[in-house]
Amino acid sequence: MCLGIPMQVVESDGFTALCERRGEQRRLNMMLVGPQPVGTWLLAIMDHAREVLTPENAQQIDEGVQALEAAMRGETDLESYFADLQLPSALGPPR
Amino acid sequence: MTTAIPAEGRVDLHLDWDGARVLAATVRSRRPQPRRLLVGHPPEHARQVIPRLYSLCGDAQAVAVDALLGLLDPAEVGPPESAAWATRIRLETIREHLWRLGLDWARMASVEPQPGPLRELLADRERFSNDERLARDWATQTYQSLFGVDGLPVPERLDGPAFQHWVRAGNSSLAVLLRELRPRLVGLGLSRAKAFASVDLPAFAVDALPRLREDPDFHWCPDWAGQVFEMGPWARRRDLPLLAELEREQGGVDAWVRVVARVLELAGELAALAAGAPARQAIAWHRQGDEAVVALEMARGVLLHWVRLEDGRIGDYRIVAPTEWNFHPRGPAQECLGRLQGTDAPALRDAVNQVVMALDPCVHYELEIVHA
Repeated sequence: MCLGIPMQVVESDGFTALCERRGEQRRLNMMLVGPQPVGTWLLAIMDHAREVLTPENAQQIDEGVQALEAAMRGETDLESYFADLQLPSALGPPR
Repeated sequence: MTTAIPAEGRVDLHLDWDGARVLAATVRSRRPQPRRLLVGHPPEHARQVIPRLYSLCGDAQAVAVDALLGLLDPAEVGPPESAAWATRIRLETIREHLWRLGLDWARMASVEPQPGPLRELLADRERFSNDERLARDWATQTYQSLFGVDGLPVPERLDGPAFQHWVRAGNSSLAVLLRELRPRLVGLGLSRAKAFASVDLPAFAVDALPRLREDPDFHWCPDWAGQVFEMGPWARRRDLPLLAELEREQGGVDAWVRVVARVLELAGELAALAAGAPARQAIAWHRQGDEAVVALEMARGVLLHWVRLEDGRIGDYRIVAPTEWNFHPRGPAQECLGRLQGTDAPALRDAVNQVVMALDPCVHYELEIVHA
């Protein structure tokens, strides 16, 4: 049930990369994705970069993680975090 | 234990230690539930949100949501069982085992990591799901690189002497890894936890539904008839002759047995994929009015999803991950850690790490050792 966290490479030495998400930095093992240039978005699963993400994918996942973090802080308006979801129109918006 | 829980969740471990042995172990797994992201939305919302968030085991999560929504769809008589589900979860299980054995345990034992097969699986997963020939070729090559050209006898016919010979004499990457791990793991973190048997999934799903409705703590502190079960490869495969033999010899299950169970499951799944045998999926569901529950076996054990609809929208939704069983306050991790011995703190930390890795939580853990 572990979350994947999108993180962006800020510094890379090939085997590991210092990555950042919203001010939090973490050093990731790059064995599964190979060396990546600064600015690349990665999906971090625990201490490993599991895959390279497009910026759009990274943003979608990040919005979901932000929504979960907002829920943990007790926020109640979580709809703005899922603006991109394409729900069947017949079902209508949340209520 | 004092830091805030990250969105990814965390397992907190607390040990009271007298300088020679652990006197008491406390285990607590905590993570946010997706409930508040889903309540008030149409059921379809769960299909889009959950696999996106929980990507470590995203295939199993997606299958659980699919089955749950199929079960509640008025146009269906039940969840549409799909061979594609089993194929997805088999590949995900192989992926997780390759990760644990080829990267995590290899790093712990200071042997050469084996990222190649895992990289290929991650890159070609979609193609493997749709192209049987490609998947068979990859599985054949991966099996040979991990287990050797001669391989292991099939897990159902593998006994102690044959396995010991393979570990001692083999040159394959897994044989080398297991030679390093065996002296560290035999006897470490012994427990007598009861194994969850996959054949019990249907009965468990029926009993879990009212518990999820009525017990607000069930998702992080689950039990079945008051009993906490161990989940995962050992629990699923414990009847294999080699695992039963090792369990008898040890008088319980230790870290070595758990790692061997993962190796045997990987061998069996890779060999089956290479032979073109269809994947088999243990899955059960139960519906009661506007509520439904789905339970399925995945890499780490049984995954449970429960939903209650209100006026056609999600009224409640909870997930119980296998980590909540293995790292239950009264579960196998607590028992294993409570039996550890060690006269220096760094060695004790190493032992804890090995016990935790053998039980394979899907989140980070934080360890606090208090010298009593």
